[in-house]
Amino acid sequence: MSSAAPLLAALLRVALPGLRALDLGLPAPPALFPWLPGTVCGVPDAEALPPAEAALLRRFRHPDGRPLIGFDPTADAALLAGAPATWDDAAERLIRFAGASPYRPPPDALLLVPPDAEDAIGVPRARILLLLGAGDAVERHDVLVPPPRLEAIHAALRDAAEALAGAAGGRWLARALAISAEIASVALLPEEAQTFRPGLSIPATALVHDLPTPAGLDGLDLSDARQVRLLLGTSPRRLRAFVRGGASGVALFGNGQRLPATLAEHPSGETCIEAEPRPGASAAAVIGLAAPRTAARFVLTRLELLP
Amino acid sequence: MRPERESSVPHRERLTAFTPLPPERNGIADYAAFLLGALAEHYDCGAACEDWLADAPPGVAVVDPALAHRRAAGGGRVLHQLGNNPGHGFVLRAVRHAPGVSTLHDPGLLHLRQTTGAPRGALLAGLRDAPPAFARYARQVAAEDRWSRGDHLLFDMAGEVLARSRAVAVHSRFARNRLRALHGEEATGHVEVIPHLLPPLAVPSRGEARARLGIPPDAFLVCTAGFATAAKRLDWLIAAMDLAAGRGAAFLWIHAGAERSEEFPLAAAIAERLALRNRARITGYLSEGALTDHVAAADALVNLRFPSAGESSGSLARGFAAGAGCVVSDTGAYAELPRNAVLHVPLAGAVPALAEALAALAADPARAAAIGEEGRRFAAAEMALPAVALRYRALIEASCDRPVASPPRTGAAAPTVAVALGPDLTAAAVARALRGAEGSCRLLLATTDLETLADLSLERPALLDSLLPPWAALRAVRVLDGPRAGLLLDLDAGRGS
Repeated sequence: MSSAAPLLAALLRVALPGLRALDLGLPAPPALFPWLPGTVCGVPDAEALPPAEAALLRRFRHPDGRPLIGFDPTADAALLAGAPATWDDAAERLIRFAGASPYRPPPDALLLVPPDAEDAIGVPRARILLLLGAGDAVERHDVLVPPPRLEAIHAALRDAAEALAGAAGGRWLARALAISAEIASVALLPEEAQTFRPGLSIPATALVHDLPTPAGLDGLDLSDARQVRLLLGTSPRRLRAFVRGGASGVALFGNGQRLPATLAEHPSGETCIEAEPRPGASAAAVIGLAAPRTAARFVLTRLELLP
Repeated sequence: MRPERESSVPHRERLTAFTPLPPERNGIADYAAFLLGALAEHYDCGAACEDWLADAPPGVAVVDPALAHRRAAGGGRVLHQLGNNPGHGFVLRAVRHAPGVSTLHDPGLLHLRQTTGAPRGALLAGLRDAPPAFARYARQVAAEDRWSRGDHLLFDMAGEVLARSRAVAVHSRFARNRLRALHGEEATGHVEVIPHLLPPLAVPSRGEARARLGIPPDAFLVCTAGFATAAKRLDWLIAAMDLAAGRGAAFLWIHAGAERSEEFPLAAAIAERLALRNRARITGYLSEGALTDHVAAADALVNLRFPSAGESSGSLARGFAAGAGCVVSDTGAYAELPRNAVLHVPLAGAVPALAEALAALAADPARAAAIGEEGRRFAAAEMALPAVALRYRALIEASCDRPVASPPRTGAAAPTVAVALGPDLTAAAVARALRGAEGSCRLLLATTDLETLADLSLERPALLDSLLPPWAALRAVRVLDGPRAGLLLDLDAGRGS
């Protein structure tokens, strides 16, 4: 995971209300998912994946039932063409590429790309350099925007950076610079070595998982399947899974391997299973939950990622 | 001092084994648990198992098979344990994604393919391995899409595993020779025989086991074990026991395992024989400890097979470990066992021969004990777990850089295979020419000119039906003129999936 990912997501959420994002960073850890709620994720080219990784990612479904982007070209076509309904009529759309864009993105969509990545396909776009600090490191992400909107979006990002500098904890430096008619920058850097790492609670209804049925209002029912994989993208330092029902013997897995975990009753009446996932590898993190065949009915209600 | 301590620890390669594990009711799961326990001495072992909460031996982590490729990436060693039942579907899929050493516990995989949803095209593609003598029958199976039990012996569907494995382990020369006969020397040069392992069981004494099970110390106890499948010929055993009982032989029989009535109605078959009603019982599926007790309590362990495709038997290995006098069919892998270590029963006249043997052993239990002792000695020498683990390690290390066949191309231009079409061209020659083809391909049946083609089509009615192998589906035909005259066929040669 990019260690500035939570800061990036927070900055975009504050600056661009109504934003809906598509993160095409898989199979590497995504940058926006899961920190920016509602982000849809996928791969830029499923054919280029190693077969086993493709088979793994093909299993997952978004909360609305659709597969990850890249695995169903027919279903993807409308989204990638920018059809408003497929973006839930979002006020603002942003697509993140981990490399050069393989698609012709909708002309009015914002793009988030690695530093200096070419925007060879589609209309010309202006560039806003985001410099975000995490501890001693500074990460750069480039936001590509339609040129007429550069000034407004730059101002929104600047205001958001200043707001976060006051709210993120510790001392932060927020700076914005208009470099040219096509390039601007926003920096949000810690004055000490702190990292913006808030907790994140993900309700079962927002989880990307590999069960055939979506989560209901009371959670994701694991009674029949006994095992579920959850695409988390990032490996948090600490992870909590909240389970209602027979949680005896339930185990947590990180990237396929069982994690040492503790079980405790939570004041909510749920059982909280807590573990410390091993630091993330170069691939998107997958969390697993398994229960013995003898376990009573149980549902997963939410996950919490803790700093 | 810390760096010194770290450098004194020898580097161990990572080994990921795709396999079922206990508590799955599957002999290969038990085998894998024993084997991985021993391989953990040599490797940093992980077991990729569909049941993430399976019982792995100490020091072996269970890994989700859908994510195990990440563990195996970067030169990690890979081992697959394949049996011919649906519990191994995930192992077969892993063979395609993560090549390594594959153990074929049963050299035939048709049942596995059929029960794990292999598409019709994939099954037809497996017919390519049929020997020429069966080609006509294979064509009929393909045309009617109707499979019988006998087809499990004729069509092994193991070609894909052979092609995509760095090496293949089988447990008998019979199994290796069967693969060789069906697939040829070139495709099976990497097949090695590693004997079945002797399970490191804490076997109780016979008296102790009998006391626990309530079996009289002086009774002559015959035991059979495992799922009561049709191939275990319990029908022969029942007839033989009926015969022996009629001649005055005194014995008890326990089937230490579950009935599989859809294959063989064991309880009903016993009930039909008056002489067996009070001598025989079926335990149902047993835990590890209870199964060991039953085998340890037995004077004789009967383990018949017909037909045999070369499969191995975990029950027989238990019998060796317990020192029970083992009685086996003189066929398949069992025929390779030393004559003094087991009692072989011929296939022809099996029932009277078995009746005679059981009556003789019941009359002289010391003889059964002597056979059991020889069996135990043989197994300790040939099947000892540490030695088997070393054989695996040697095979894994020797083959880790051996290239494997690539998965079928997708989206690439279909390759063309050319064969000269003449009056003598046979279906076997066409099948040979297409042997390496997978998925979409083209076959040019070349002639010198169009007149010759016209003559041949008149001389040989249903020309394409008689020439094309059953697994190659004809998609389109074009007649070519000019310097490359002939029939150009667009085929789907199937693919493993």
